[in-house]
Amino acid sequence: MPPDPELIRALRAAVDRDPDSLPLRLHLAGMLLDLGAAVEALEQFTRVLAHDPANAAALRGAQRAAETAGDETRAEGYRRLADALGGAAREPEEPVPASGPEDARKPDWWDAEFPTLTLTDVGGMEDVKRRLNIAFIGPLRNPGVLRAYGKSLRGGLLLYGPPGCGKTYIARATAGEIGARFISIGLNDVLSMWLGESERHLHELFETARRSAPCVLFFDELDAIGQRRSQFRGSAGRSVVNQLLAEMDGVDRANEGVFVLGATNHPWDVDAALLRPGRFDRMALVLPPDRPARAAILGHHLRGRPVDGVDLGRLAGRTDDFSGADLAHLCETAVEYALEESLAGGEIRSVTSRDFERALGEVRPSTRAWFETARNFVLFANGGGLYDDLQTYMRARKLL
Amino acid sequence: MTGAERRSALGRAGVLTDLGRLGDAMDMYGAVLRRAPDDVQALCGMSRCLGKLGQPAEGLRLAERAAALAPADDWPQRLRSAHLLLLGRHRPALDAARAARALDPAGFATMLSLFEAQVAMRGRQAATETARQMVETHPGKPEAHNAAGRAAMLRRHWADAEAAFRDALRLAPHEPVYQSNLALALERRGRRREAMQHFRSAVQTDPGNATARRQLFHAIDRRLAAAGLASGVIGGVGANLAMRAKEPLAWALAVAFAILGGGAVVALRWWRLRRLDETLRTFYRHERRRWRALQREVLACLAVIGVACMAAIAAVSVLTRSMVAAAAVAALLLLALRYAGVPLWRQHVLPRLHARHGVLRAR
Repeated sequence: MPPDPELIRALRAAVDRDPDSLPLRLHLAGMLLDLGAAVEALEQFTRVLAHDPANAAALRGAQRAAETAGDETRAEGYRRLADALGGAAREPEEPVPASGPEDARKPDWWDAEFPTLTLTDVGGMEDVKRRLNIAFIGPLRNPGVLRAYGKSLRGGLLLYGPPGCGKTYIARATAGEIGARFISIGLNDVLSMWLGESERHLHELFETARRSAPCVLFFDELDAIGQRRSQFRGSAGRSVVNQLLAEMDGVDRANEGVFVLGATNHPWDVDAALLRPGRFDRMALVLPPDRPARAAILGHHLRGRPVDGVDLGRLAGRTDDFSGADLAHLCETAVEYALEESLAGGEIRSVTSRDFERALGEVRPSTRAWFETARNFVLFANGGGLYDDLQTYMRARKLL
Repeated sequence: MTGAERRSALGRAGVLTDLGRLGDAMDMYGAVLRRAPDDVQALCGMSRCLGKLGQPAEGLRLAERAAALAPADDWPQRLRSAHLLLLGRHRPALDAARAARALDPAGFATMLSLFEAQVAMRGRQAATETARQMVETHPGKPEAHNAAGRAAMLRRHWADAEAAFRDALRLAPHEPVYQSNLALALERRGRRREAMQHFRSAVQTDPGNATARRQLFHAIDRRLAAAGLASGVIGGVGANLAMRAKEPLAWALAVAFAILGGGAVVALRWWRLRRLDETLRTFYRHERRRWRALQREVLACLAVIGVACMAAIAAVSVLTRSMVAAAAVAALLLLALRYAGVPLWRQHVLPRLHARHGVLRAR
């Protein structure tokens, strides 16, 4: 018997009143799925997973909802996640706790999680997706092909490009796409490593990743941890890079199933040894969004907000060189103008194109400074064709 | 904040500064200073970051506060000296560097600080002596040999400079500034082709190094400036002929030679630029655009100041109908510009313009 629509309405109202109640939201999602509203159910399941990524009921529910909605890729991702969580062998193993004040902070160095994003959630970036697919996603999904070509499932990919263009986002989506554990190492973790026992910490991190395979190990701001050794004054930084090199090399296929992703705005500051085969041997340029992607990003940031007469296509045309973060900032600025006038006038008014005109006078694209810096590296440090993609892009945009 | 937390925060901030993440480092120093406003290490760290961010005036204030809190510490004095040099105040910079040296006579950092101030003051003998001491006491430090090379350059001993820069490069082969300095010494010795190769490879070693880029840009500029000589010769010949000829032929000759001179400059610059490879041409084109943008803004500022001064003098002259009053106003304006305008220009306007255009200040 299908659920009573009145009951669903009441549940919705309850969820609106108490949006953090996961059991309530889960119940609503289940009822929506039973009612046949798969897309809406999937949205509710996703919200539960955003709060509790390891929630098995939500994962199974999301899998069913995605199947019903016809999104097989996403359903497969959720299934893998649910399987991984259900199997004892896939249980996450935390590093061995040790005594002492330094060790007490250890669980904070990295956060293992199962991202719910998938590559379909990432607009544009087709070339980057293709590279990710060739390097890791495709072989993982087709072990037969992998065996036929004698290819190992290891290695790394370095995402580089101007800031705010979605490098971290696509890394999380990659982990979500394959239903793998995602361990993110940021600048603060790196600093903790530098000031503590760096080699042991890095080794433990890789050991955790190996035990959790398939696993995506993501080094955000790789230039901080893997900076050129010639630039280090002290020995601490050098030993971190040396250890990272040793861990990435692994022994006896130890890194099988561990895919190391790096992201950096300064690829030229990364130690050359890290870019050699077997380490970050592939590089993918993450560029500012193109016009259709910009329109989609603007639409995403304006969703659920009162907007009147804003031509997103035209606005996208005027935001050349804007990164995703710049576009978000632009939308926030325009909304603030509308909000300011609404507060002054005592009446809520929509965000109009006039607000965007004002915001455009204030928000400048942040990517231009990056391309200014990148130019000299393309000109003088592209001997091995490392920056060929960037060179082609800059030539096409008359930046060279 | 406990002692361990403070040490950890300062350690992290130091690493962030070395990594060039100055904003993050300043946040961390700021967190320490909120808890302990008189923390000398945090004040010095923050001051160092401000200097790197092109805000020497603000950095100087913090360094002076640190110096007052820790009169026996040489770091605040060294920072003061560095900021004062950036602000163009060479004499007080030298005094601060001497104070630092007095606090730590054998320290390499204090010697280097003193050397920089002496170079800025054009004290050839003193700078040479300091550089000699640096090499004697710290022969394994490449910066000591670089200082010796720079001192030799000041004395126009190009061969000595070349040898010293080569010594520095032997100790630090990946340092683009030493290579760039070697190129300068070679250029002065007339080995221009070799010099250009070194200028270029300095930028190739680290395209992000502003000093290496600036020196390559100016080397190309000097190469192209030779075209101006041709223009001068043509202009001289033209002026000579025009003075001998009768009117209206004299005017016609003057115009013809003016066009010829201008054309020669353009053609020669174009020809010399064509002889460079595409990489250098592209590099020069973009760097020139940046420098010209800076020059335009500097000239615009100076023009506004000049017009304002002239207008003030003219207004006083018209209102009082007295040349004495106008001369007095002119003298007052000159004094105000010298003792208020120039420091303001050096401390606040010029550093901001340089930072905005990403141009390294030549010293």
